[in-house]
Amino acid sequence: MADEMPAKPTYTVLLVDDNETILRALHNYLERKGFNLLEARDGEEALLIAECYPSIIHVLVTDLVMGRMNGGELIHRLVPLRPEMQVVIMSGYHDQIMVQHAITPLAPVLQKPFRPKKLLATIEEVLAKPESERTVAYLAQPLTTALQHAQASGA
Amino acid sequence: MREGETAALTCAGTARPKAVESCLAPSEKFFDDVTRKSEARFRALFDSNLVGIAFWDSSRDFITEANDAYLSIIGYTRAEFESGKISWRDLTPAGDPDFDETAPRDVYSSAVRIYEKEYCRRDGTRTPIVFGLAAPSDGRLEGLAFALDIREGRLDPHLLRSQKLESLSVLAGGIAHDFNNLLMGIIANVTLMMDDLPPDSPLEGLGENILAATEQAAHLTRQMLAFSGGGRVTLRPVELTKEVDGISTKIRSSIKKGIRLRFNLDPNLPRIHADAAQIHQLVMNLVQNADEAIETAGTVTISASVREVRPQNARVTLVVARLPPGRYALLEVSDSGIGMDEQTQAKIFDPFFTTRFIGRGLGLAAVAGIVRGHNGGIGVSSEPGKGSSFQVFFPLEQVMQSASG
Repeated sequence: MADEMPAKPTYTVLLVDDNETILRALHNYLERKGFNLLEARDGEEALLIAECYPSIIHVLVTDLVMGRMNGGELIHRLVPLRPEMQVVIMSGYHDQIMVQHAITPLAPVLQKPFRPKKLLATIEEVLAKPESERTVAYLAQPLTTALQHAQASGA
Repeated sequence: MREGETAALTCAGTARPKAVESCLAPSEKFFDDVTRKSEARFRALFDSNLVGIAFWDSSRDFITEANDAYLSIIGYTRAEFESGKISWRDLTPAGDPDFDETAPRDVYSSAVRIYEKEYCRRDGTRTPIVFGLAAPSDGRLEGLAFALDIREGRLDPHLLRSQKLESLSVLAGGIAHDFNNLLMGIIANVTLMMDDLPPDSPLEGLGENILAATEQAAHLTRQMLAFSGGGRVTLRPVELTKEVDGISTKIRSSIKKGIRLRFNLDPNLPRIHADAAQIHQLVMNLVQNADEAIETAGTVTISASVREVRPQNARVTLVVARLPPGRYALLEVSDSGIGMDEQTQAKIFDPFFTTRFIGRGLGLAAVAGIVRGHNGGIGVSSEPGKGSSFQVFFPLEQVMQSASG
């Protein structure tokens, strides 16, 4: 099925998850679907990789709850550095997803477990988004305000 | 005991450094006032008999003073207590780790400890208590013991229940998260394997079976997450009537053919603060419960209306102890099924409680979690043979706003 995809530029995906099995499998899957893959096991490693990577990173696919730096902080630090980058969030925690949603309302969220096909469709969807709907446009408000907003609407 | 005394003396030495005292140098009157105030406060606490309180003379090892609550726990009358010396050994059952000689030393050398233990009552019976010890830091060789009677029925069942639920929620939330990650690993790897299969491979069907099973497992973890109260941050203005209406087809297809389904939804119901997906889950779980209560034929009614909760009938609910008075959206799911006795009703929201041979007993526990996450309440009325009715109360949108702003 992947072979039927029309010829298009190779997109680069930065995949971040602290679960090795998931990281391996999704990496493998997306690579087969024609993406160029970068991977990291937590936010800090992802930042480091992004800093060293010389060309465009099209999509950041990140878990939320991770050891050294969580997905929320990663998004807030990385998106301003790479404004062209789109974000897709995945998480096994429902509440975490909701806090995140308040911070980056336009970033789609996949609740684990999901079929890899769904991740593929979501990535293709965010790649097709117009400039104005990119994640970076919604990071204008500071993180603290966004978090306060999230907490206020939750309490 | 010798060691115990030494420890107590060390403690006394550090109690109130002279330098600090002279620094403060309060007037005598001020000091008297403070003492009197503090004494009055302590008396009020001591005499309130909310918990058993006793003082211990550590050098001679017996109780010097005890309040009525304490005496009632240990089964002594005040006269008996005053005429004889009660030692902590009299109260400690043999075999209790506290019976060990090191126990008093711990007490006087360190801070408060709280744990559950048993006391030996005067009549030889044992009684469960929550026990705490403190060493006053004013240098007297006196220990302070707290005892809380936790015999069944002594504590507010709502309190016990909510504590039990809370610890279970934390556990369930944690397990659900780990399971989601594990299931994700299974789904992703099976997908990779299936991608490699030659066209029309018989293994394709087996792979689909695995995926279907993991999706059922994922449904279970969603129930567990709901039970744990997850997702309360998603609350948005939602039209309850519209939400229930929107899943009516799904509801109909989830019940037995012999069951008549009736909707009685107020089209002008004010909006509530809710998570639409969780509302769907809640309705589906209640409907499934109703379906299971009906053997072959019967009626399930789903209604939504506005209900005024007054202060005197605020205790309508088994999940939240009290609902603040005010207007609520009431979602009611009633069935004409087998009904429940009171014993069953008390347990239905416990996770893994089920009256069925098959089933996981998470449906109503998830409902309870969702209700808690929505600051709502839930009540049940039922009688064996007369069907059951579940009433879920959701705060109306304006109620929420006036409460928070």
